[in-house]
Amino acid sequence: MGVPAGELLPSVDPVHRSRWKMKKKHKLFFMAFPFLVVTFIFYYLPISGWIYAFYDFIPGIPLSDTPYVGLKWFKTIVSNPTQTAEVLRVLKNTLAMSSLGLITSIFPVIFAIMLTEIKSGWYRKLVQTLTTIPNFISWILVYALAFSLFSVDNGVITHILVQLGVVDEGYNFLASSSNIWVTMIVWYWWKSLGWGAILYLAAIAGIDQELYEAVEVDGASRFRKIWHITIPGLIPTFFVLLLLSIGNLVNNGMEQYFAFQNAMNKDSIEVLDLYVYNIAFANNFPFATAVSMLKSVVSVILLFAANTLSKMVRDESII
Amino acid sequence: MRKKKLTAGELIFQIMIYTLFGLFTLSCIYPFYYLFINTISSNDLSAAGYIKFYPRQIHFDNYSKVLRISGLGHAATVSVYRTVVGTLLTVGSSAFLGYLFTKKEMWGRSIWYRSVVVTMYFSAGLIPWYITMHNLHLTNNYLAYILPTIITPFNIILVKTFVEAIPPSLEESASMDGAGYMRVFWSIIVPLTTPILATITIFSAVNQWNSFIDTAFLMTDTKYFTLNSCYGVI
Repeated sequence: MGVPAGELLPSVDPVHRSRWKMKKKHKLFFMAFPFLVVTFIFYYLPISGWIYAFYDFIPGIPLSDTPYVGLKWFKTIVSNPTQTAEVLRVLKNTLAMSSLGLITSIFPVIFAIMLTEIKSGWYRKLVQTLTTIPNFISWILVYALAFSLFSVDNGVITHILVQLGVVDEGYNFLASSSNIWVTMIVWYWWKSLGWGAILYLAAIAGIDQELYEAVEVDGASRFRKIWHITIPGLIPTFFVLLLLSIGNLVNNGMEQYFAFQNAMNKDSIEVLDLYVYNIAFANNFPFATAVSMLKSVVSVILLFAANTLSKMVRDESII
Repeated sequence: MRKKKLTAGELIFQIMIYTLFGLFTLSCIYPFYYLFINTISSNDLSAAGYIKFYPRQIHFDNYSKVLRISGLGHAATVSVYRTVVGTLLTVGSSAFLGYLFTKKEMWGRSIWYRSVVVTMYFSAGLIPWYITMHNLHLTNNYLAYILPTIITPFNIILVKTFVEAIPPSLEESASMDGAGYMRVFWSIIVPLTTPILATITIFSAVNQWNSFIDTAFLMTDTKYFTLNSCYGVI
C-alpha cells in the first residue's frame, strides 16, 4: 500500500495493456462478424452447389436419387466434338468482347482529357451531365431504344440510311450477326463513356495546377502538357482499373447480351455468362454448373496473376 | 505572326472538340427525345414512322392509359422499396465494414478482407445460386432484393481506401478521449467519408432501380415484380 504509484505502474501496465489489446482485436472481429456471415451465406454457401456438376442432376429429383457421374460433364467439353465447338465459339465471343473492352478502356481517358480542354465552362458541364444519362437506364431500356431506332420497319436511323442508300431496304441491324462484337462495344460505350470519364475527370481535377503553370512558363505546347503532366497523373487510376478488369476477362456479365440476343445473332453474341444461362434454361443444369465452375476458377487465377503482375511492376497490391 | 498561327490551330482544335462532344451528347439525348415525342404524338403517325424530329398532333392519352394499368402502382412501390431500403443497407454496411477493415488490430483482418474482395471474381453460378436462394426461402420474398446487397465488395474497397487516406491523428485523439469504435465511426468516419458515401449511394441506387435479372429468376408471383419486370407483362 505504501508503494508509490510510479513504481507500481510499469509492472502492472504491460499485463493490463495486453489484455486490453486482446479484447480489442476480438471486439473488432465480432463487430465485423455479422457481415462476414452474410458474405458466407450469399457468396460461399452457393459453392456447395458445385456438387451438382458431378451428378446427372434433374431439378425436382433429390440429389440422393440421382446417379453420380464423376467428371462426365467436364469430359464432354473436350470429348464431344459438337460440345467442344460450341464452347470454343462461346469462348471466342467472350474473349473478343473482353479484349475489345480492354483496348477501348482508354476511351474514358481520352474523353476526360479532351473535355478538360474545352474552354467554355457551361458547355463542358452540359456535355458532362448529358452524357452520363444513358448510364442510368437499364439494358432492357437500351434495347428498347435500339429497337426504336434500328428496327427494320420503322427504325428512324434505318429509315434515314435506306433513303441515303447506305444500306439496302430491309437491312436488319439488330439481327445481323456480322458486326455484333463491334455493335455491342459501341452500345457499351454509348451507355458508359460519360459515366466512366467521371473518375478520370476527378483525377485531373486533383492534379496540381502549379505543374501546368510551371511548364507554361517554359513554353510547353498543349500536347506536351497533356503528355507530360495529365497522362502521368491518370496512369495510377487507369492501371488499377485495367488490372481489376483483367480478372474479369471471362465475366462479361450477361444483362447487355441477354437484352440484345435473338435467334439471328445468337452465335456471335453468346458470351460465357449468357451461355450458362441459356443451357441452364435448356434444363442442362449439371453442365451449366460445370461451365460456371471452370469460369470461376479461371477468373480467380487471372485475378491473382494480375495482382502478382501489379506487385512486380508497380510494387502495389490490388487485393 | 507566330502567335496568330497558333490561334488558328487553336481555333480549329476548339471547333473540332466542340463538334465531337456536341455530336456525342446529341447521340446520348436524341433516343430519349425520340421516344418522348413519339409517346405524345398521334399513335397512327408514330406507328407509320413519321415522327422523327418534332411531335405532331400532340395528345397525352398514352400516359393516362399507362397510369390506369392495374398493378403498375404496386410495381412502382416495389421498385422504390428496393431502391431506398437496399441502398441504405448497402451504404451503411459498406461504410461500417470498410472502416472496420482499416483496423490493423482486427483478428484475421487480411483473410476476411481478401475473402470479401475475391467474391467479385467468382460466382457459384446461376443454378447453385438459385438453389441456395430457394433453400433460404428467398424466392418470392421481398428480402431477396435487399439482403444480398449488404455486401458489395467494390463499395467496401472504395470506403476502405478513402478511410485510409484520413489522417490517423483524428481517430487517435478521439479514442484518447475515450470514444469507442462505434463512436469514432459515427462522429468522425461518417462525416469525413461523405463524398465517397454519396458516390456509393448513386452507384447502388442506380443498380437497384435498374436490376431485373434477380426478379426474372427468383420471383414467379407478379406481386413481387418491379417496374423493370413489368415491361414484359405489358
